[in-house]
Amino acid sequence: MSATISQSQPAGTAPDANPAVSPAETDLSARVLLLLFLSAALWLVGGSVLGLISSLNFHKPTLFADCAAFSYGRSHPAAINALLYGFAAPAGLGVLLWLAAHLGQAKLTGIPLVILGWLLWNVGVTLGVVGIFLGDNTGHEWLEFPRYASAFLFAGYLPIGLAGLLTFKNRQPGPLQMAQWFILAAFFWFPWIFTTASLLLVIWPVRGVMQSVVGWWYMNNFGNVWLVLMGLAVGFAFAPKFAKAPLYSRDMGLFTFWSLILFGSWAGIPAAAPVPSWIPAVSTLGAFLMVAAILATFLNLTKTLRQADRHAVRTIPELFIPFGVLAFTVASLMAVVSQPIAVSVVTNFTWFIPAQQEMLVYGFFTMTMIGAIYYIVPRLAPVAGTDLLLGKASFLLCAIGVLFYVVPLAVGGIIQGSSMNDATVPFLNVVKGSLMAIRGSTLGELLMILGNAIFLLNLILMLFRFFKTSTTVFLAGANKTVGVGA
Amino acid sequence: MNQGPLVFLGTFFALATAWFGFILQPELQIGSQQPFLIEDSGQLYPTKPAGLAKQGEDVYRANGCFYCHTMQVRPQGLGGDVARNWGARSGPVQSVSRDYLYAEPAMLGSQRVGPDLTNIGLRQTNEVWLLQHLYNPQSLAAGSTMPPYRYLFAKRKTTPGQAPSKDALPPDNNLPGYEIVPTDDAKALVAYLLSLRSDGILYEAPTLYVKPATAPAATTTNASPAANSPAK
Ligand code: HEC
Repeated sequence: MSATISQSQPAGTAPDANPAVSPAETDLSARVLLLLFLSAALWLVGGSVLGLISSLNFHKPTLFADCAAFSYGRSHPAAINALLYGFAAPAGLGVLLWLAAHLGQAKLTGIPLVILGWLLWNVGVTLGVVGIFLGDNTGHEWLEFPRYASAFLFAGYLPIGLAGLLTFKNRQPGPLQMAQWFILAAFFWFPWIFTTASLLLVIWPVRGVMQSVVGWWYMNNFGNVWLVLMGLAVGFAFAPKFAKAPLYSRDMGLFTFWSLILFGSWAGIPAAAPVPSWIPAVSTLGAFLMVAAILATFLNLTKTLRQADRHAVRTIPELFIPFGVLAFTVASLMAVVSQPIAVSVVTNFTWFIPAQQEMLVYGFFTMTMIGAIYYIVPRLAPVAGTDLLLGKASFLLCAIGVLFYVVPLAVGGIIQGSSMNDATVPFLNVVKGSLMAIRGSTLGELLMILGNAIFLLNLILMLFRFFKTSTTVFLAGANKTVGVGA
Repeated sequence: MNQGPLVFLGTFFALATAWFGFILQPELQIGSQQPFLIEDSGQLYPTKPAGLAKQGEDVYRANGCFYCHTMQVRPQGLGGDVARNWGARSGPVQSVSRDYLYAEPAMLGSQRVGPDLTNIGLRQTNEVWLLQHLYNPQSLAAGSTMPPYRYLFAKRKTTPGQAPSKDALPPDNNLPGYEIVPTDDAKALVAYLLSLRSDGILYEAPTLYVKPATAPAATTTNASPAANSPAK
């Protein structure tokens, strides 16, 4: 039942190579990833609930006036970091480990490393979120975790990254498939940017506005490069699989890869930043050099998916992952368009920025990973003949939720920016003018929470059924010997 | 061909260029900036925040004020920052890198749910107003979405006839029998807000400063070189 997702058999086998491993054996070796997926899903629900709590501040500002932890300035970063570090990173790494093993026709190598890393990482995330609640926020967006938490993240990443590299190394020889390029780059990208940013912002902080430069650099490389590397690895691996056809164009895939790591890594410095003007200028150039790659990715993946049999029934992952491809295109173009000064003068400092981030982090990355995990978990924990609970509903809730969140905030952000730039509009009117959009987006948050909760519930159900069947089988054997009737 | 090394080297090269370009190069250019000596007054700008204001910076960070407030005035002609009177300098009044020399951490912010606070210490010099606004923003700005920070204040029962505490907020008719006293954190935060002002004179963003160079430098050979080209 677990068909291989690799497309090419190795032409010749090196003498010392490991024998190719069957997909079923790979899945058996990769069961440990269930830990990552389960904790990720828990953080996803927890983080989105925290996000809702922070939004309630806009419905009733006095709500948490006596509660420091839930005040906007603490619950909002706690939510973002729970989603980025609690959900996004472990979910992405888990999926990448599974893909690395399958594409390489190898077993997952380094199971104890994964367990160790998972433990340390989650201790780090827990400490970090609690730290933010207690007021230990570092003051740098997307890197708010205090240093005692970052240390655990760093220590937790190393063994997981190592397991990834070991698994990658055990692959069958032959040219790399497109997704493998993205996987390998992703395993290197995170430790480099996380160490650089932690050292220069938290451990030995650079001075003054240099901190902001490092911060923008980190945010861009985390969101627009690392998350994209992981999400596109899934796209490039699964699109051919869903279509039961080869990738439309490998050259376009390579073009995406090189553009992303060479130019995508420059973007993200706001055009009017108070820094020497060449810095935002180069950043804008980098963003524009990405346009062709964004469109090429969209074309490449949709052309691949179009080869599918139109009449075949779509499975749940086949809904989530193509949505992710579309959201990637929209989110990336939103980022490019708002980079040059002419647009940035309106959109910067407005709700347009969080709208773009949500499109990227949720619309693209989270949807893609939920799809991949829905695909992977039944293979790691196989139980005969069970369907996902409310699979399609959970897709619709997530998809409509993210649109209900992003569209009002993006439009509201543009209105907010235009009226803020018109000094004849009193500031309080600007504030009141954007309330509708903010409050509207809360509906989107609610829908996403429901979708996330169904996702978590499905994971728990799948695991529960799996362990029940395996223990029943086990107990059935035991019962016979002991002779206790049921 | 085994492309593993190619991907590895390519990734490494990409990371290295991004790092050299966006971390090392800016650090070399502005990382070692020094405060600027204002010739007329002999004062340095920016000044190191001290004492209570320094503690207030921590309160500002811990409570995430920077998720709703920026500290960056954009140049004239870019948006309404200057027209809204958020700047402090006349002429090209934008924030420049040197303004943040002593910010720990630099909290430029990314959202303007509330107004820019670069120069709140110039705009609003009344400590009591700031405290009261912190305690109940809606009482001073009807319809504000800023959350009240009641947890930074102590609510104490008063006995009739008792003199109010020295630093209590002005009595509130809605709360008979109680007085509202700012905690140390609230006082530090307000001291920090009062210290926020970027009216120092910088050659990157000149102001009141009339350059002697209006007389061509070539004819007045002994024009103070320091005045024409202040040390970087
Ligand atoms: C949820 C967003 C939000 C948060 C968080 C927030 N503010 Fe505000 N703030 C606003 C809004 C909106 C206004 C404008 C309306 C008003 O004056 O209340 C404002 C106004 C202000 C003003 C008056 C500015 C002026 O020009 O008159 C000050 C001072 C201020 N805030 C300080 C703070 C401090 C200090 C914190 C952190 C403890 C903070 N704010 C947190 C939204 C926020």
